[in-house]
Amino acid sequence: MNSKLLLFILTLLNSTFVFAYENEFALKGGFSTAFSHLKYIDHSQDNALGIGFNTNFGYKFKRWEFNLTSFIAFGEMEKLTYQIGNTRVQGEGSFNHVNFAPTARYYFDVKENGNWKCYLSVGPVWSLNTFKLEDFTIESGAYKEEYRYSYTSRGWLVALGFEEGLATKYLKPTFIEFLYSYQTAYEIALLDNSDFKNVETLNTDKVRTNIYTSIFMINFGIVFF
Amino acid sequence: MLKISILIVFSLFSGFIHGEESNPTRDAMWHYEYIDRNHEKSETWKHLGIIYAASWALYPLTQPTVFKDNGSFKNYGNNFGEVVFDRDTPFWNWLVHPISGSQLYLYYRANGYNRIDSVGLTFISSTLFEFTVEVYTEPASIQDLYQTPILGSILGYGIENLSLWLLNTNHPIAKFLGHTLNPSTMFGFFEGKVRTVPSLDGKGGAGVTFIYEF
Repeated sequence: MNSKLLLFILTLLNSTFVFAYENEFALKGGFSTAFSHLKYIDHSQDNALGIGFNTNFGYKFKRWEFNLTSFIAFGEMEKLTYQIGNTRVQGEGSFNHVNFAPTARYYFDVKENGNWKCYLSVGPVWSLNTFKLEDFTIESGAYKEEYRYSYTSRGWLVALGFEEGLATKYLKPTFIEFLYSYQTAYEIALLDNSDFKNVETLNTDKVRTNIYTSIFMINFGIVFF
Repeated sequence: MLKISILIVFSLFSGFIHGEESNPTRDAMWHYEYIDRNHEKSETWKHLGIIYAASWALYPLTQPTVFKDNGSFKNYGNNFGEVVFDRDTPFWNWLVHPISGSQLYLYYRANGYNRIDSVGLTFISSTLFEFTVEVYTEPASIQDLYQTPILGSILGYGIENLSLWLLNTNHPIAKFLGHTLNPSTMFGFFEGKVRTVPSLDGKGGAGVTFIYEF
């Protein structure tokens, strides 16, 4: 009788721990690998692999979590055509994407009483994308190696992730997440990086030909606290 | 010559082994840790006020050229309330701002705030700076609003753990590094500096007493 009662209590306690920590703030972060696809002016397009890191700060209720999310990727791009005003350049070089997104996340069980929880995350995203051309051909206008080409984009992201359902966030639960983001550019700029402490904006313009960015990322990391 | 070299190396090595076997330790007068506690609202406002005043003093001192060339009350009015993606180099966005954020985080941790509260207060302090101080020269930056408190807190969390380990080794060079990485541990407001007092029970037993001062 006592062993049956003990088993019942243990089962009850185990089922109440399904959602691990809840009603708490949490700071998460880790590393990322990114696959970017750019559709650019003159129908030029390119794919690029990159690495980066991700951060997340938010409040977790029982099933819902609301976060401020950021993910950053660095990589190399090949032949793309860039144009702003009269300056038109074709080249290859390195890039970085810096993305910010307020997201809503919903947790559900992978399997009953399992150690991993699955979540779906969605939200709008804004980003700043900067290109440093190392090998370029000037088709018109003036362009120097110290110049940078950047554009700001906005769009949406969706992510599917798995996080350890530990009893407390202080055990630093691990997560892995598959994220997809699709964005369109709304402003482009030409920058002069000759003085790295004081970047000069040479020209800005609204986007006249659509620039699309698709990013697929694998994010993994831990809950810091 | 070879025989002398081998003898010297052997002597040093055996001395090292001898040291490991006897395992001496440094006497530590102080133990460093973080002690979380509750705070009155007035105390929190006081700390926010101190940081806000310090940001007004430090901004023109750390960026005199930008402050003089780009700063004006006319710019203040034009930039107030505006939020943009800044075009700064990684030097500012991924080095200076996270380091600044980490030191803000560590200041609040030193004053007894827990980690999450320290993140929140760092966010408030950096937001006040972006929207009411830096607008003297440029609009508030989306990257800085997020990266200063968030990347700064992650960096601060790492510095917190590393500096405590360095400080508690009681080695002079390690302590110097610990204080350099985490300057808040040097000042009187750091609440986690605990006096250690050796104790003997008279029966051959020895221990350490930690004295917390209120």
